[in-house]
Amino acid sequence: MEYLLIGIFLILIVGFVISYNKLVALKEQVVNSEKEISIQLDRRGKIFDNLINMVKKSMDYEKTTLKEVVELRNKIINLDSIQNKNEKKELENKLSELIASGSLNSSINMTMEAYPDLKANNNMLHFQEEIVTTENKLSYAKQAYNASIEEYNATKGGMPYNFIVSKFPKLDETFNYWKISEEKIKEEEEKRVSFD
Amino acid sequence: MSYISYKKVIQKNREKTYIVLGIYLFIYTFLGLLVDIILHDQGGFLSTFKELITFKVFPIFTLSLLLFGFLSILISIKLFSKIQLSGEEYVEIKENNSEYKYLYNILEELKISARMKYMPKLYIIKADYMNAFASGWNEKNTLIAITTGLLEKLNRQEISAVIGHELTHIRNEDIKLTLVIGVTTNLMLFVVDWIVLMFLNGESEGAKKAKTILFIMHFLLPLLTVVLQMWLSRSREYMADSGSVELIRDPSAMASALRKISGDYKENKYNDQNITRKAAYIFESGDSIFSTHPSIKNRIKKLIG
Repeated sequence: MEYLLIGIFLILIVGFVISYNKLVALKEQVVNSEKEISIQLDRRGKIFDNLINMVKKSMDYEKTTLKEVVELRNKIINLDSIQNKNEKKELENKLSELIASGSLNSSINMTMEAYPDLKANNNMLHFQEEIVTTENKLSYAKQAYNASIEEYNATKGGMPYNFIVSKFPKLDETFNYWKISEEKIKEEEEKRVSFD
Repeated sequence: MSYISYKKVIQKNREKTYIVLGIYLFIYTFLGLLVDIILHDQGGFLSTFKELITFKVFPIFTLSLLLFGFLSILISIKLFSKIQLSGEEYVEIKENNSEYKYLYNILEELKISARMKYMPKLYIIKADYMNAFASGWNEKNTLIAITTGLLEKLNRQEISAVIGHELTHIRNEDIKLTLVIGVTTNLMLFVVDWIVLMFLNGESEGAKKAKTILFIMHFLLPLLTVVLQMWLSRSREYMADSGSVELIRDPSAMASALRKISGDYKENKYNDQNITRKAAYIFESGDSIFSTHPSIKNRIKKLIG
């Protein structure tokens, strides 16, 4: 009889340890995925700075979409502080929109046609692919971040994890999903309704 | 089809996998016990069976068989990757490769989406047929190979879907699964082979009954294992398709890639290629219980309804 009790007790201890560790691991995964977003944003920043530098020498980029890119990049660089996290996020999202609209791509195409010495430049040829892949990586990083939050929240809310979390509150953290702001969503919806 | 439905597909197929693994372990152990009954050669069938299970009689053959199976799997792991790439002209694509940089980029994109720690090795196979496969035992030494035929005919999004499919095979540990089941099947078939049965003779009632069952298994087992393996393989293929969508959030890309691949195979007659790789490919023609892959029609239906 005593052996049975000891057995049950051991199973409970092992179960507890496994669950506790799983929560820690999931929480860490969320923190890590968020860093991946920063890495990709950094990368994108560097690529654009390179693009602008390369183009500046050959042409007056003021007449193209690159002008907007330069303005956005300058704002983002000057904003680099923790207080302006939301503002910075909105600007980065604006840059993503610019890329998604395709106007940047056509600007680069036109630039390459009009300036043969740029076209011959190997780095310039690779830029479009670099922009596409960096934008994809950024999207996937956001996606992965949201997925890890989902996994963490779903696990945390279930049994027996919710019980463990109530006894160890530092395992409990609220993360916000990466998404565009409410005003932005309204703006997008309104765009589609108008026929202008 | 929504993102959540893909999770359901994955869950259902995971359950199927456990069922098949359970059946395998059961048959494997059961075979061992049958041989032990013959070797013990005393008493009735059920009584000896009970004695073996409770260890009153030491089930030496069963335990040796389990140990041997375990060791065989370990050895196969070492040799596995070398076999997969053999027989073709293949080139490794590294980060600094300029011609196929876009392919390396796609793989890196999906690595981020899949939250993987290590970057799989990337190879291209110079061949006209369209196909891709993944191989490797653990996270640190995985590889993905794609034919140039596929790269030429699919667009960027479709290639992403194909790579997503292969990465999912890696994440789901399908390669491990295929290996374990393959080795176990071969060992099981060996036990019921004529040569072994010749040496197993017993006088007791238990031994005679056990031998009869082994005899029946000799005919039944090959068919059973093939059907089970193929069922499992098709199930994992659906999972890989769903996993690809989970990674790139675009079901139409995978569907259109499959259409292009199957169309290409209809138009051209290709000679294969490495038979050991068959289950690892993204595509195999044919649509029966003996097929490693589900039919293209069914795969597309599961993706976009």
